[in-house]
Amino acid sequence: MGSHLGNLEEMVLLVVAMMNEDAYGVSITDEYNKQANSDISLSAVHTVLRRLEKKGFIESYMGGATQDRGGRRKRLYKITRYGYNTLQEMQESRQRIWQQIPKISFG
Amino acid sequence: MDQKDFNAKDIQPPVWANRFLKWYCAPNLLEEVEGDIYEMFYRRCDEQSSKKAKRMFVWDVLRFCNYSTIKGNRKFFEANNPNAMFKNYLKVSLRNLLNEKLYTVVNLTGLSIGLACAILIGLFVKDEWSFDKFHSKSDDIYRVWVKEDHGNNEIYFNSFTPPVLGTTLKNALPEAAQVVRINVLNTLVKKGDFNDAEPVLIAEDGFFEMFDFNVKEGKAGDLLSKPNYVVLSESMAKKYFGDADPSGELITIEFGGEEKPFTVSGIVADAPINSSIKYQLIVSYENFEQYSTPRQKESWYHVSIETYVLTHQGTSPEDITSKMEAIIKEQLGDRYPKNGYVVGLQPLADIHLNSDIPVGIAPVSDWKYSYILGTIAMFILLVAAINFMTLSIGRSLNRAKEVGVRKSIGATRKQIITQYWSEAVLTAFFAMIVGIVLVSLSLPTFNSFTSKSLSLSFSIENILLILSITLITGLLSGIYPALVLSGFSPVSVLKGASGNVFNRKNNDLFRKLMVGLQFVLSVILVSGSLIMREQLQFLQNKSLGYNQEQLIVIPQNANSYGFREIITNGMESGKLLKKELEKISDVKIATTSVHSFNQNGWLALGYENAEGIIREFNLNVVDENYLQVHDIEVLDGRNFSEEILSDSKGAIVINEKLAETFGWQVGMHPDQFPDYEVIGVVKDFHFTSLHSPIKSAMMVMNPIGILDNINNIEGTTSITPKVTVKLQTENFSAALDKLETAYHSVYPNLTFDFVFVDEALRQMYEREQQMGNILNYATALGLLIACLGLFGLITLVVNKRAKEIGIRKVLGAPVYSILVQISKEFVWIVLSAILIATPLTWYIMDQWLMDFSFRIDINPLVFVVAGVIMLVVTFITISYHAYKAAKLDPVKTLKME
Repeated sequence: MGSHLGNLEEMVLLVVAMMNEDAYGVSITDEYNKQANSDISLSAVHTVLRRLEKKGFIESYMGGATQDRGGRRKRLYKITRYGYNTLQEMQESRQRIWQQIPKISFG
Repeated sequence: MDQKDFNAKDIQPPVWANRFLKWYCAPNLLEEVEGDIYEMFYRRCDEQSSKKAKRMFVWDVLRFCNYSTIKGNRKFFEANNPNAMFKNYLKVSLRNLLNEKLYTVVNLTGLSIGLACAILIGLFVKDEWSFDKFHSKSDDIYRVWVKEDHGNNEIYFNSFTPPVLGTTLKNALPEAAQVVRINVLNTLVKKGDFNDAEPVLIAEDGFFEMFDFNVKEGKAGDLLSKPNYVVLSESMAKKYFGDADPSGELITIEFGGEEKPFTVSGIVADAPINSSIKYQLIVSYENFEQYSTPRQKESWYHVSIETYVLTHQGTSPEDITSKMEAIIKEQLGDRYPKNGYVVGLQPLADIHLNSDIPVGIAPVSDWKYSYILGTIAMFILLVAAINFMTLSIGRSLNRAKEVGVRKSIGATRKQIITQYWSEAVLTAFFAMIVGIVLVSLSLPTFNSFTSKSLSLSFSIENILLILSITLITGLLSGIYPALVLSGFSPVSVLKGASGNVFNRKNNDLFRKLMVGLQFVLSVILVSGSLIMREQLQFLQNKSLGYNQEQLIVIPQNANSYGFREIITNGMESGKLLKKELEKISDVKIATTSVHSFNQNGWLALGYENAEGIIREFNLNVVDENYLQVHDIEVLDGRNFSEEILSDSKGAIVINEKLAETFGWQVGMHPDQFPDYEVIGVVKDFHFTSLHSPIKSAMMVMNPIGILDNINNIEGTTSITPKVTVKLQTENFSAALDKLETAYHSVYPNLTFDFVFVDEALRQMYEREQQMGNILNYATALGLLIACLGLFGLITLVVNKRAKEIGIRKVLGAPVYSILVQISKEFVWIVLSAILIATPLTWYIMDQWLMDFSFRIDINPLVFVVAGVIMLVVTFITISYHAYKAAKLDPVKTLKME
């Protein structure tokens, strides 16, 4: 699998990076829906997270069992250096292009 | 403890959903996924209702059921689950099918023929039962029947009703949501120069609202709103208008001798094949009323039309009938029949298959035939399934090792049963494919046998029908082998102690029972078809009391309206036609009569005599040639004569039966008909089909004086006078040409129509003939399948006994004694099968024969013949292998290890 980053994948990766400490299925879904003002499902986020981990953008570990999950542990996600670099590169190239956009007026 | 904990204890998500999640989810993902879903659940419990939370929990579980969540679930994809085992079963089954070609051929042939029969008959039965169910209001539509009981067994039971009944229903009974009266009239239809006789359906306004016939053009509510509107079926529109649009065009229909113009108000699709109500042209009910006399309209005793009623949902038919009966009783007063005037409602969907209620406009099929056919199909399928069973058990020794190995590796009994069952089902599915091919090949022939137009379309219903027949057959035929094979003990099987591995005695007994059952079924089929054939031959050869040879009936069109007018005018015009026809040299003699022998039954009349007893008899209006044309023998008195003037006014010829019941003699003037004199008594002859006994019959030349003095009249066949011609030629087609020319010289505008009497008589027993044909084929197929099974079985028996035969030969047994040894077993089975099948067949066929008034007695010889046939067939089947085995060099078989 290539290292291509899809649109949803990029957004979820950003959210994971943003949350840094407490990123797991439910919290990522909540945060994503808040930020992007959408209503994505938990299962979709899980699928994306697994794909991101497989591509090496994020890593995960089990931990943080709480009472409100019936004592089950969470899978916590953290962005990898590679993931962080990829995001940064994308951000920079985007910024570059953005700055080259001439002033457009929409009369 | 916080509130969440309270929730966690109190409200739980649906257990089944969680179980489903645990089942599909990859184990390494289960904890996190489950945790996340639970977290959402508890949160929703807090924020929203627990009901919604539960619903959302299920939704979440379903959403997670995707490839990425299942992927890590090894049990889904690897070999320790039933799915993968099935692959192995399939492979082993296929190998076995290919290895043992003889058995495969025997099984597949038997099962595919059996399945083909079952599918064909399934289609037939489905078609029979689907009649009239396509109307959306079908459950609430009823046809009204009436039954007058005048005492002394004088009962008039009819599906035709008096017109006044419909009027009363409409006006006095709010329970009847809608009432539609219909009738069919055969009359002349003209468009320009083109004309033809057509059945015209007279239907009350509302016809298209009550019944769901597919209106192609025009608004359903308006189609019959005016008396001069006519609705055409699509095929009629094509016939009279070609491709042009007929809407609003004029077409002429003859009513009561008068040509009336009608405006085409719409077009309907042709009536579906499975509709009891058929139509070509439809005009409104007013047309019927215009030509009815007030007496016909008012009388409760004048039945002439069918009445259909739509009830409000939830109304029971009894509500309507009891109220109707009360009204009738009140209206009739002292003319109320002695034992009552009963009204009944017959559900629309019941009309096609209920032969207990008299036939109305639509012909009625007999439900019995559906059952007979279904039973035949079951027999054949059973014979084929038994083949599968006996052969599998016979071969079970060969597969015992396989079972032993499977069991040692750890297969459970349940798994072995599954394996052999799936093998049986697989075989059945292969057979189904062959069977479907057989069905499509034989469908045209089957259709012509049953005069249906069935087709094998792959609708969901048909697919389900076929699949379920196949599945049931597979499961049924696999059940015993599966149980036997799975019962093997692995230790003894693998040790090779084959003699003790399974209870040989039980299996032998079971096998014998099964083969015996096959023979019983075969004997029933063989003797049943022999008896049916005998009865049919009896019907065809029975002396009918008249000569049916070389008789041609030429119907005339009803050129007037009203009962008496049709008869008198028709007799007059018949005279003209008769004269023309008699000029032809091929015509020996011709006669005009109201009823001819191509019809089943005459007008039934009834009158109350001086003692208050209702007398019923059948009437035919004839001319002086009638008896001569039909070679009816005069026993006493004389025939009608042209020379004696009074004959055309007041002469009666009666049959023996009437003379006997009424006590009339030649020369007497009956009290009821004082203007008439009995001039002759003729020998009894069959003017109805042989299903019913000979009834009292009377023939007159002038019916008016009779019709004036009767209380009841009932007719099921056309009363338009016909001309019957006795030919004296072998060249029928030339004679027919001449007849047509003569006909056209009298009726230049009408289409010439004719019926051969012997042909029509054959058609009266068409249903029996069809059944006889089907039974013959079924018998042949059943026998063939049973023989195939026997053929397979005998090879097994011979192989198993190869050593024994070898030893016998070494000790000096001649070939014939070995043949006897092998055949003995089967002969015993056949003999006991005949013993069991005889009383069964006797009972079944006796039931069938009860439908006939003239029937054969079952000849015990039939069973002897069937037994001999079975023995011969059995012997031929087994002799090849038995003989081969007996001739085999014993050295070879004994050396074999």
